[in-house]
This record gives sequence, C-alpha cells and structure tokens, in this order.
Amino acid sequence: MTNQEIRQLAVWLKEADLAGAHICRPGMQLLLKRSSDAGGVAAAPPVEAAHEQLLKTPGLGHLRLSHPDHREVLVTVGSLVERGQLVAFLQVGELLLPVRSQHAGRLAAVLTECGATVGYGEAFMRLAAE
Amino acid sequence: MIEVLSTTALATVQDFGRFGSLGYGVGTSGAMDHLALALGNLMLGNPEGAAAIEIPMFTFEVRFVQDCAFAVSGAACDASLDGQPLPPYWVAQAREGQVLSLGYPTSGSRAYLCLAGGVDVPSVLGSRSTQLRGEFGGLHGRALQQGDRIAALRPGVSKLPSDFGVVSPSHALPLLCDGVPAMRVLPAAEYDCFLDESRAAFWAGEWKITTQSNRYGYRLEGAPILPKAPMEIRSHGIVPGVIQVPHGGQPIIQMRDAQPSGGYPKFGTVIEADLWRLGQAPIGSKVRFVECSYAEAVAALEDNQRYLVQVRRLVDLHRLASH
Amino acid sequence: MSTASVPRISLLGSTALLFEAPGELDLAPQQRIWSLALQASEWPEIHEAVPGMNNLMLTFIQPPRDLDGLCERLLQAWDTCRPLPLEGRIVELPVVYGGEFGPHMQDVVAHTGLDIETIANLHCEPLYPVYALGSHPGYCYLGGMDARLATPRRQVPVLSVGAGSVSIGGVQTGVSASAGPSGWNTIGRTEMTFFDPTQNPPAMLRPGDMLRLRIERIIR
Repeated sequence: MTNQEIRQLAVWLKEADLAGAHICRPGMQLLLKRSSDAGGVAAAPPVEAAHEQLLKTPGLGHLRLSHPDHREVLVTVGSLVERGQLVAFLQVGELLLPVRSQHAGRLAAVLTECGATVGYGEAFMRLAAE
Repeated sequence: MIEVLSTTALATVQDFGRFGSLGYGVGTSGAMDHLALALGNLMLGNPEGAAAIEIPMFTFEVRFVQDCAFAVSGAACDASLDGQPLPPYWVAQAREGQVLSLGYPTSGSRAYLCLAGGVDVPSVLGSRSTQLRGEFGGLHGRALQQGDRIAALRPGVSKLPSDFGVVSPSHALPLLCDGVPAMRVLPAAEYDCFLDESRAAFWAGEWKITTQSNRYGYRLEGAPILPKAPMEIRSHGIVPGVIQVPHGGQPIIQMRDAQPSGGYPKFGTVIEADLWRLGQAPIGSKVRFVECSYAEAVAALEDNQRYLVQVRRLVDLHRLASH
Repeated sequence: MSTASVPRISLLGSTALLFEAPGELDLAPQQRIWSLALQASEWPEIHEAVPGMNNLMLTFIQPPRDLDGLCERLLQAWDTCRPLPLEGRIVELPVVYGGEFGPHMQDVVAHTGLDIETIANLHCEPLYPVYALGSHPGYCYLGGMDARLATPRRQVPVLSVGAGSVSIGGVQTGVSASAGPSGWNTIGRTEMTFFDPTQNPPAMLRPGDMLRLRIERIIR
C-alpha cells in the first residue's frame, strides 16, 4: 500500500465517520486511528468458558443485529447457528458487511447492542457448543 | 447468462434512459428508480447506467446458465439464491445452475437485478432501455417472458469482492411529510389556473397511488383538483414527473414510459431528484407533495449525487481492503 | 394561454423549460419555433430542443446555474429569429373515414353539427404541415386543421387505438404511428410506416414536411 493510498484511506475513514481501521494482509498490517476520537474503546473482553465459543467482529464499524430494512434480528437467542451463517452486519457508513459465524452452536447470549460501535476482534455473541 | 424461469408481468430491461430522441416522439424510458440501478451497478463495478432488469411484480425467478456475479437492489424483496436468503441491496457471486428467487417486497415496489458488466442487449438510439410503445430496445422491445435468456457483459467468476451490501437510499435520503413518504414538486405553467382551495388541497392532502399506476403514469386519488375555467392546452414536450390534471380533477403523474408530449393542464412537476421515490411507492400507498423552488430542486439533485459519490468511495475502500 | 401577447417561459421541474409563443396557433410562429430550436440546441446547457405546437421544450444537460440568463437569451433569440422556410416533402396518405376505423366519428358529428361526408371532406382539404413530432415514436402533430372540426379531447382516454389512426384533439389533428392509448377522437385510419429505429433518422417525417390526406373510402 502506497503512502498516497494510506492518505486516501484516512480521508475516506473521516468521511465515513469512523475512528480508525485495521487492515491485515500477508506481510502487512496497517492500523489507523483518529487522534481526537475516543470511539470504540473496548470494555474488558469476556472470559471464554470451555464449552462456549465467542464470535468476534471482523473489523471496525457499527454492529447491526438486523438488516436496516427488516425488523427481525438475524438470529435469536436459543436458536442453532451453523458455521458460516450470517449472524450480523457490520455497517461502515453506507456499506453493510456480512458477519458470519466462525463456529457452530446454540446462541447463548448477544453481548453487543444493535448499532454499537465496535472495534476489530470484539466478542459480540456467545455460542454454547451443542 | 440467465434464463427466466418465471415472471409476472412487466419485467423489462432498463438503463438510465434514452435521451436525444424526444424530437422523434421517442420518450426516455429508463429505470423508475435510477438510484437503485446505480447502486446495484456500483456494487458490481459496472458503469452506473449499465442496463439491468427492472422487476415490478413478484415472484421472479431466474436460473444462472453461467457463473455470474449479480446484485439485487431497490425493493427489499425476499431474495434467495438456491434457497439461501440474500439480504436486500446485496451483491453476490452466482454459480452455474443456481436459481435466484425474488419474492414479494416488504418495502419498496421495484427491484433491480443487475448482472456483472450489465445486461447485454443491443443499444438502440443510444440506450438499452425498453421502448414498449415503439417495440424496440431492451429485450426485443417487450417485457420478459418465461424461457427468455439474457446475457451479461462480464459473466464468470468476478475478481471483485461480492457478499456485501449497501444501506437503501430511503434510509440515507429520507423525505417524509407527517410520517408519509413525500416528493417535492415545482409548480408548472397552469398552476395559477387552478382554484385556490384545490391548490391548498394538493399540498395538504394525502394522495393514494391507485391500481391504475404503472411506468406510463401514476393515477392518484384524492380531493379533486379543479381549474378556475376549462383549459385546452397546445401539445408540448413533457418530461417524467409532470403532473397533469385531466377533466375530473384526479391528477396523473407522467412516468418514464409516458408520452414525450402532452396537452392536459399541468399542475406541477415532481422534481427529477425525487422520481426514484415515486418509483418505489407501492400501489395502494399514500404520498404527500411538498412545494419547492428551482434552487431546492437543483440542491436535491446534488444531494443524490453526493450520496452516490459517498457510497462509491466506501465500495472502493472495501475493494482496497479486500484484495 | 393561447392568445397571450408575449411569450411565456415556465419550468418542467429542474429537467426542462417550456417556451410558449404568443398569439393564435399558426404556421408562421411554428416556422420561427423551428428556427429557435436550431439555435437553442447549440447552447451549452441544452440537451435537446423539442418543438411542440407553437412551443418549444428545452431539456437541460445539467440544470443551469443562471436560469434567468438562459431565459433572457431565449427571449432575445425569439425576438430576432426568422421563420425557417417550408422546404419539406409532400407525402400523400389515403384515409378510410368512419365505421370501425372511426370509433369516435359520431362524437365529432355531435360536437360540430356536421355530417360524416362534410367532416371527411373538410379534414382532407388542407395540406397539413408537420409542426412537430411527439406523443410516440414517429407521431406527427399537424397544423392547419379546419377550425369547424375542433372537438375537445375525450374525458376518459381510450386504452388502445390502432396504428395509423387519424384523430382530432381540440383544434389539432394527427395520425398515430403505433397502437396505444389516446385521448383524441379517432375518425379514420391510414396505412404507412412512420418509424423505424434501424434507420437514420428513425422517423419518416420531420417538421416542415407536409401531409396530403385523401379520402379512400367513407364508411357511414
């Protein structure tokens, strides 16, 4: 990634009203943070019990539990979740990125409020292993 | 390439429209919701005005005869690919043999199926939009039928990321009047020739989009809009959005397939920037009209443009971060 | 509106403006409209200049910042523009009047007080200049209809009249180029191909051409 691309990224992030970005690629990691922003300060990460799996956010944005056009949440507490199943959206400005479950299990708890600003790798759902 | 498995009436190929042939009596046609078309194309990396399939009635089902990336935009219709639900306003990669099904919308009224590269039909008089009256353009100048095969300009497995979406423009660009979807209207030449109380009723009232509403025109139901005296108007060019009031006082909004000329008295014109809102207003729903000035109409166009630029930037950012 | 003394300019949203020539509907102002259209179509703001019946619609490429300036320029151009000469072709159309081809002939009879024979003869008498195209691909708006035949547009438009339908709407007359809805009174039918999208230009007739209608048959 060139310096110009990084600068462009910074401008876009400001316009999309985000606190920063974390980009991981083979051989490269880039972490951008807006200095004046206090957004996205993470609480202490939940402790993962042996029979549970935590689902973690794939990046920075606003976590949505339902699509803006739908009222129902994607998954309800108590339902079975398959690996790869769409369980939430990560909203970045007008963009909606799919958040798919990395594990299979029964949804035990939702750890984040709909619309909350999240950082990279934050636990947002807890699955109980079946 | 896709094959139409089932379609209800009036699905047509549309792009932004056919311009420059009004002088031959050829109306513009084009997508009723140009923002949905632009966004679907944007998600696929197509030119914004690339041709797509406009679907006003459901269910609509196609099979992918080849691998092809596609996007479904516009109305939030129950979309699924081989039974797997797709969120609204979403881009996905289809594999050969997969079936895309679009069900009845939960919001909006017209969906757009965009294909990678755009729909590949011949351009006639500068556009791929369907000219139904003249029976040319689009797919053989007619609505789609079961068995039709429609090619994409860039089939195969897309190099661009898929499996993401955008928030619908109705969230980004809301316009409501007392909780009812609203459209801005610029008064037209005969505005002052209508009764004061009729003019007031037009702005204050809720207007129902009757079942006799389609790409040619939207017939509205509400308080009669009456002239001070009967008027015979000379035929003149019109554009989509012109609100005509025939005898009887029930307005008709000329839409994208309307005649390019008309001779009924004109109350006002729904501004170009708000035509997409009308395009998504379902039959039977109610709308309100808000009077606006020329400057406000131009500003509204700029708002739409700014929104598209914003989305394009975010999609570019996503591509940059993905490869 | 029809007998104003000065031109009128109004907006069609932010997409186009409409220029209406003053005075009675006539050929000389129409020739000036054609001339005005030629000029205005060259202006940087204008996408297309579309003549109508003694009027002109100008569609914008982008809505002009200086709308007032454009309107002034338009009024000045109108003041100074000269009528374009009538140099078009004369095309003859045989017409079958009445019967199944003239479903609204009786309404014209009722409104005008004339019988079918007289209506057909008065309708064929003039050499009709093509004022403008519009309504649908290839459709010509004709000038010069005998005022005695004037019949108001229908209260409820008809869902479909066939291609080649000869109709009267208010003081105007025209021939449809394809099947479709119409608010006019259809009095006869003619055969002709008015539009072919594969040709350049796609319309067979253009403003300045003239139509000579001939009675092929009158069905009473």
